[in-house]
Amino acid sequence: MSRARFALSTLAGPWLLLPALGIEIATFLVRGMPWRGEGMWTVDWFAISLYLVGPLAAGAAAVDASRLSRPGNLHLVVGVPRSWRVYARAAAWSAIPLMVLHLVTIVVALLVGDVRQPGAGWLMMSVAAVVQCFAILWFVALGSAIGRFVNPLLAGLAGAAAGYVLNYLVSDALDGEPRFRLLALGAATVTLVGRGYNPGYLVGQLAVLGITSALFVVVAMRVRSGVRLPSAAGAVAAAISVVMIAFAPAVLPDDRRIADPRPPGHCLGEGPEICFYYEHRRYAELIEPRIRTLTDAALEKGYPAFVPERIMEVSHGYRPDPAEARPLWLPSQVYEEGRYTLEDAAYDLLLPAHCEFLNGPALTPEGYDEVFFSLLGTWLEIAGAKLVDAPVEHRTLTPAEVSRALDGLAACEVRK
Amino acid sequence: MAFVRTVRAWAAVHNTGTGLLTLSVVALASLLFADTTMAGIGPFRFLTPVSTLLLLPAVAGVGAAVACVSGHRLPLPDPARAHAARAAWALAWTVLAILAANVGLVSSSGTSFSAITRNVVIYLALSLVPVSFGQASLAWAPVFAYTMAAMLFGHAANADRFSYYWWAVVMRGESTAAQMITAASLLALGLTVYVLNPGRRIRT
Repeated sequence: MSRARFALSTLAGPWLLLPALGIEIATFLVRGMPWRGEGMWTVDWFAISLYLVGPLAAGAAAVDASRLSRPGNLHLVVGVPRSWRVYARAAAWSAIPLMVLHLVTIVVALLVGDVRQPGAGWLMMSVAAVVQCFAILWFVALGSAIGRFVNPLLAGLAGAAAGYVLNYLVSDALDGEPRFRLLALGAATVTLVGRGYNPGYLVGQLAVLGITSALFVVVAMRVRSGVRLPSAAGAVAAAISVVMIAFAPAVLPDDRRIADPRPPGHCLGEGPEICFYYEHRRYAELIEPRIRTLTDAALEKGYPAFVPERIMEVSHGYRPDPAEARPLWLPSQVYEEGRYTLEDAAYDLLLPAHCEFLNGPALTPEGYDEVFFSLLGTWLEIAGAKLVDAPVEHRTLTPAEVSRALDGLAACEVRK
Repeated sequence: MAFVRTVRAWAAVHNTGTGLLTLSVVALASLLFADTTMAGIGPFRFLTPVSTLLLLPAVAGVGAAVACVSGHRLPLPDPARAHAARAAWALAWTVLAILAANVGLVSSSGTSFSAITRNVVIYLALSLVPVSFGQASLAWAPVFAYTMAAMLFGHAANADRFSYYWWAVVMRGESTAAQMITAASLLALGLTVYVLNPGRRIRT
């Protein structure tokens, strides 16, 4: 009998590959695959599947470890030299297939998204993907350490529950404060353009995940009066792991992502020139025609004030100087549904997003809504569309009024 | 006396202690965390915060299923009376699990009795499947996989439908009659499979 067949017939862990494949495929397909094209987002997106795979892997590894240390198999793990090797071999059958599957999924996703020049850099993206694989290893090692001391019927429950609870305790689930968190693996649901990885953070995760996994695996067992207990060295190893996990935030960096202030570089056409991030080039054919419809109509009907010289896509790290270019922000339905209307385009190009009253506690100037929706309605009207619902009364403006109102909004004032 | 002796013998060859331990932990957690809610998993918010009392039935269901695992490992005859006894035993654990999971409602009104009961019934039905097929140590696996899939993928991304999909029903804080009937039918199915085929070739 081959080793693989032996492992499949004696261990639960290798079977996890089947549900894990389903989970990876579900993660791949949900929400319209919005990550396609963005390197960093693709890598971080697939951390979503680890919320499921992690606790399941901990449970399966716990079952396998507890079957090794139940009466009848004890002679395999007690009183033999380097007994941890037996557990490590069983754990490896859980961890390695899952890690390979996860890496393959990420590589396939990068190919499907045609990622070519990721802003976050290939090296850091690779490190982040390896961190996710180390997290799988960590869940398995944790489950294996717990399972050694629990009866087989409860081992899976204990391992999976521990994995589930730790997903909260050592990740960013309970509060969003920037702090080093061992299991903050990404799981981004919005675009990450304009951000990069913090190398210190990722290396810190690699080190802590790697060392504590190794410590969990070597926890050895002794039997006293039929009760399974950790050996003295094993108890020390487990204690060191807990202390390391608890105190890592004190010495390691706080922010996993750092801002990347690079402007977009994929520019198309002129009058206006529209610039996208290279990683968002697949949206250009959706968005550019909408904006051209608006600007061509404005020029044709004598409203040149509507037409900016340049339109620059904004990111988490970059926002154009309002005097030089209009900012373009892609709403989530662009990523998730591929939907972008004329109204979306006009609304975004008119919104004075740099003004304090839209970003802070400052009061909105009187008459702002009326002026804003009159501008929006006018622009849509000359482009042959109609403003469907506006919260206030609005009217069609003349070119001179448009020019005056836009100058006002640029200065964050309302001019009628 | 003969009846009491039979019950004691029956309890001794099943995982009664393990089941009681699990259900005690559930009852205690139900009391302690009655007013706790979970807002999401990882960076994902649930539609509304979900009461811990809706999640503890997962553990209660596994505990009750584990208590139904027979440990005698002997090729004993299996007459109709043994079938009836198994059905009664499993039903008794169902009731115990429902009670243990609902203890928290004594001090809290965070969620409803019917929703907790619905979840216990669904989870018990799920964990009886591996038990019936001789994989009792994997009784937790379908329960965890299903719950976390419901948490992550159970509702639409942009919440234009403000509700969980029908298959992620365990996340809903209220239960309807239709849900109770469906859950009860699932359990009836699970119990039938268990009674006819209690996982004789047990591997633990």
